[in-house]
Amino acid sequence: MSEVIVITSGKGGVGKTTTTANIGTALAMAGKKVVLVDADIGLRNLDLVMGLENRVVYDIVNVIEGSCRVKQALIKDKRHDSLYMLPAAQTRDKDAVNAEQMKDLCQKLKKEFDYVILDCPAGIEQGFKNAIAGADKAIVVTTPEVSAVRDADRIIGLLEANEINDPKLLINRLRVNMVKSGDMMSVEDIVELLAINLIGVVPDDTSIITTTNRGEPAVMNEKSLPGKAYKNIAKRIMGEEVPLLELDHKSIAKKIKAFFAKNKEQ
Amino acid sequence: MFENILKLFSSNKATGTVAKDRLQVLLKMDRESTSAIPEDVMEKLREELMQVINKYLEIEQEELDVKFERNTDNEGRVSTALVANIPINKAKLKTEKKETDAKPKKAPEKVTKKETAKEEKTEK
Repeated sequence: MSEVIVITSGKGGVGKTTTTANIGTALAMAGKKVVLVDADIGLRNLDLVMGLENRVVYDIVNVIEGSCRVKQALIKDKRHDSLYMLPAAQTRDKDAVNAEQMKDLCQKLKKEFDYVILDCPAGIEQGFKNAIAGADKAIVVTTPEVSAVRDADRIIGLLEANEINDPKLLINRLRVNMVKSGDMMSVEDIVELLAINLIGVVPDDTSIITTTNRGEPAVMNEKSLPGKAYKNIAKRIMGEEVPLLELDHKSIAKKIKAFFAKNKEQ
Repeated sequence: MFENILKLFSSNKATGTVAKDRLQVLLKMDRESTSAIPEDVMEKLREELMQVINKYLEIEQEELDVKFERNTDNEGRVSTALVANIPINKAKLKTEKKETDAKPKKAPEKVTKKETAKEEKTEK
């Protein structure tokens, strides 16, 4: 069964595009046929984050207006056989597309792919309405900041009103040390406030910046902690039960110590 | 270092808790004001609900509180519920004969009535 999943947040700059790129790449690495759709018309960026910016010929508006076929506009990711991307138009605005057209496009893509991942624009206007029109499921991205959490709550309300039920929460850029010292809301705090199910937690880490600089999603880097978190999220999307990533380095160190102490005793 | 010393002298509450507390209040207000049901419809619902209950029970008309709440159950399923908090004056049927009224009055009791209801579509 194919699925259309929209990655949304309300607030801008919380990591929707990075999340789309990483979840999509991780799903493709697991052998799924995936297409990433940049629904942020006018502010195209998914191509850049994916490292595919030099290969854009046609875009989503060309497809919808019928000036090219879907297959012509899809960019194949050379690194992963089953991964494709449909770029947003850069010279048009959000009104170039309507909800009905997006729905049709999603239905077409669904026939060819296991997962259609939509990178939703920030805000709650037409671009958001278009992006959610064809979606079966939603992942709401937030960071542990008051403004991001407030906007996430608004988005959750709108998703439910549009009958996209059971949206999942992704908490991005968590700083474990700040949570420990009490200066950042914890995962539990945010889950309690927003009252939806958690799909994963991605730690704040410099590797996201360095991998994005190169146009390589973090999941391609074995050592990247956010990469591991995104891989786990992809597994959960595929229906696997994966425990939350151990983000606390000190507790890992403690566990290793405890392990050696145990071995000594024996 | 200096920050830590400052912290000792300032209020002890961690800012993470401050953030959560502020959001708890704010989200409640946001949810009420951005509810999918317009305020005038809610008002009508409140009125008619009151009329129906008033047929059977004596209620404190001023204090009828009807609102939507988002809840998560034990299995993590999210649902929206229509919650009505209706304080009643007398926990007795209105249809009872007047004689029974002679008994000493009971203190007002609070009865909470919950009905699950799906919110209507916002976009039409």
